[in-house]
Amino acid sequence: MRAFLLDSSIAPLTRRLTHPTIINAAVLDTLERPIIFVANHQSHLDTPLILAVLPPKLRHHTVVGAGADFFFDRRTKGFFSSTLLGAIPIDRVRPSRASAELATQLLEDGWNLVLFPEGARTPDGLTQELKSGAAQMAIKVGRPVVPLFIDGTYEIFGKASDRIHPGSTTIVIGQPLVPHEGEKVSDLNDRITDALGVLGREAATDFFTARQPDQALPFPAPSRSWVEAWRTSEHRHQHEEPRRWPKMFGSRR
Amino acid sequence: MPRPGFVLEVDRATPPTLFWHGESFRLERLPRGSRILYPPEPLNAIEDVRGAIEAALDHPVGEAQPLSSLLNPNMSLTIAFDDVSLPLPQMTAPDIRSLVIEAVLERAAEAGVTDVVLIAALALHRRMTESELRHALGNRVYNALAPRGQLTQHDAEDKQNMTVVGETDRGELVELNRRAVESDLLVYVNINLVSMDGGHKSVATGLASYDSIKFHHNVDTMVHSRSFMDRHNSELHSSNWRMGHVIKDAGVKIFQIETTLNTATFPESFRFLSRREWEWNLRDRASFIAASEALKKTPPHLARQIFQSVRSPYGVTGITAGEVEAVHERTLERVYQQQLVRVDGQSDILTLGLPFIGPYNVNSIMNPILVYCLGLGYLFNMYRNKPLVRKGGVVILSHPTRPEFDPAFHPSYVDFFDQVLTETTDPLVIESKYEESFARDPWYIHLYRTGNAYHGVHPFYMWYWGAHALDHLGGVIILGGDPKATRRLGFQSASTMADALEMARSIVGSDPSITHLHSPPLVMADVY
Repeated sequence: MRAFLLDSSIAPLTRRLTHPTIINAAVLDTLERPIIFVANHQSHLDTPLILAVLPPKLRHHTVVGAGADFFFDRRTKGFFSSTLLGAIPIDRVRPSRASAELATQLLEDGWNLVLFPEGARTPDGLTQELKSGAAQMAIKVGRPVVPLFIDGTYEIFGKASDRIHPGSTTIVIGQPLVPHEGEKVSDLNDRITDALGVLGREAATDFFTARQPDQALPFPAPSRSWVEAWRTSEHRHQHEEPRRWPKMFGSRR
Repeated sequence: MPRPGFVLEVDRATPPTLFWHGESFRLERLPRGSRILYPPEPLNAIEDVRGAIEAALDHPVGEAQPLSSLLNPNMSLTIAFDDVSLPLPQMTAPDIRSLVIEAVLERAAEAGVTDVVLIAALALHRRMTESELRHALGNRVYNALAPRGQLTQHDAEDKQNMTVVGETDRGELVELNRRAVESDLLVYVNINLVSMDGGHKSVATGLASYDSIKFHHNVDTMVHSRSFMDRHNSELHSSNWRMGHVIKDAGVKIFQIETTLNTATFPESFRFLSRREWEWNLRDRASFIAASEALKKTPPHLARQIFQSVRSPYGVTGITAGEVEAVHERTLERVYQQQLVRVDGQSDILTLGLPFIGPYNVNSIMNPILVYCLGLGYLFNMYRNKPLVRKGGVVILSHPTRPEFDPAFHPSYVDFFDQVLTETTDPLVIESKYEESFARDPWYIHLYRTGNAYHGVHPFYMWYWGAHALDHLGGVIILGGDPKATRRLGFQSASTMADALEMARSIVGSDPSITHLHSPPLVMADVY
């Protein structure tokens, strides 16, 4: 049922809204379940976009870590999040054993897991510092981490957007990072951070430039000019209109 | 029609007067015959601010063309803006800077200008935090430019990105931010809260290096600025104006946008702070009692947090754009219209209640050096013609003056307090003996450039800011001030107003005249 919904509606609709360009897609064909996918987080569209670009054999066996405080704060939201996207609750406010155990169990059962280690969508388009939960889980279950860098969803439906502005996106897929024997969580987290940084630069430039040693920023600036970003945000006046209706969707926090 | 400010003579029927006392208040009965200078009520604000901004951009004053005609796709555009030290407290959203910059960017986007950079004109102030930038600029501006590295903060110590524009005829070096100077157009967006702000000072100080700023931020200039709130009698401004002419002659194209605010300083819940005491109704009295009693039981750090979260419902009274000097003359007219009150004659004693905030402790602690600067630098200088207190008179400041410092924002202040003020409080000695070593200290420079620290030389400037007052006064007493910290500043402390007045009498004579400056809201005395 979920696979049918994904293949017939969510994936085509997401592709239509985001027009993804996939770089290094060949990596996906070499992967063996279970895999931990980690990605930067620009938008609510990131999850359906990742599911849309995964080949069906991976997509149908993938669950997504989602903030329990946001996606599971109401029963209806929790139901739709888990049914449509395969979301599982991850407690962001207080790291809990229950969240970690559920994720681990699913990995051990052969499910792929998508995590956004920044913990929340970027408020400004820049990639935030990565939390170490993904690295911790990879070491615990001994499975590889595949980094994905998503560019463009911030402009389409970023945190400050009040509606979707269809556009184009780029997803760069990295090589699997296998935890070494006895590797520390912080070291693996650093490797994931570095890998995402390189992929981000690759999204903005090219394969070779992205790997030059003198790249100063861990993550690159968005590839679109400020004028394009400005135009897509021109109808927003976040700070002047008082809310006329109660908030019907979204976190109550 | 808002009522003008006025001078009240205290008589038998006058209720006790509200004094600010840091993060609390005092009610003091001033002796009969004392004068209290009350600020004018807030002027009516512009209703259609966006419309006024558009009009200002389309109809600039002086020798300037409309902004749109100055923009083209191949140009480089730099927009500099006043930092977090203005306005005080921070205004409720939307901040006027965000509205003006949005309007400028709107036109830049229409013209297809891709090379746009925003610069926070910090001078030697601390870098703004992300939330402060978001508040000042709005999320739309921040989100469009910050991720692309097009929102920057001026770094006066980044020698590679500074450039020497020239020298004035008095040998004053003009060294400014390279990006701002080399852009095809520099737009400066200001908030003119007091008459000291704006004009050529915006660029010549806000985007300058220490080597340039030191030519006017020094003891001699300050002592000869009578006052630095009076542009035409301020040596500080004369120096900045000379530098402004050098900048203009060097071909730097500046489009100045100045804005003025009214004095609607406190939100409705603190309404009693803006009202005259005899007009307090039951609600105001209840609010005062509730606030005072609650503050007595609140730890200082918590009280500080509460006050620092206050946002002022300032109204915009004017926006003018165009050539720097023409713009500034109009701005000054509006500032004076809002703040100036005529006062006849000086007095022997001036009393000042110091509030919780000054330009340099936004979201931070008001340390003793900032107390000194706010009292003797800023409020003492809120005059035109001559000071409210006579030569050899006494100023009584009301403030707890706790020896507390913010180590992240004010690291060099700690050392200034411990190492310099223990040796001397004489501004000239301090300047000649200690300034250079603090200004060139690599650790302070590192903290200024990479953290949120004021420049190493900043506490010196705070001390010079009060040099005119120190030169003019016969004594300074801090009412309710921590005795040890007050002594370190070179002043006396008193625990009650009666004690403070008695101590002052020993300096100015037995029957002194007293004036109280009832501020904030801001008021400027025009003393004849």
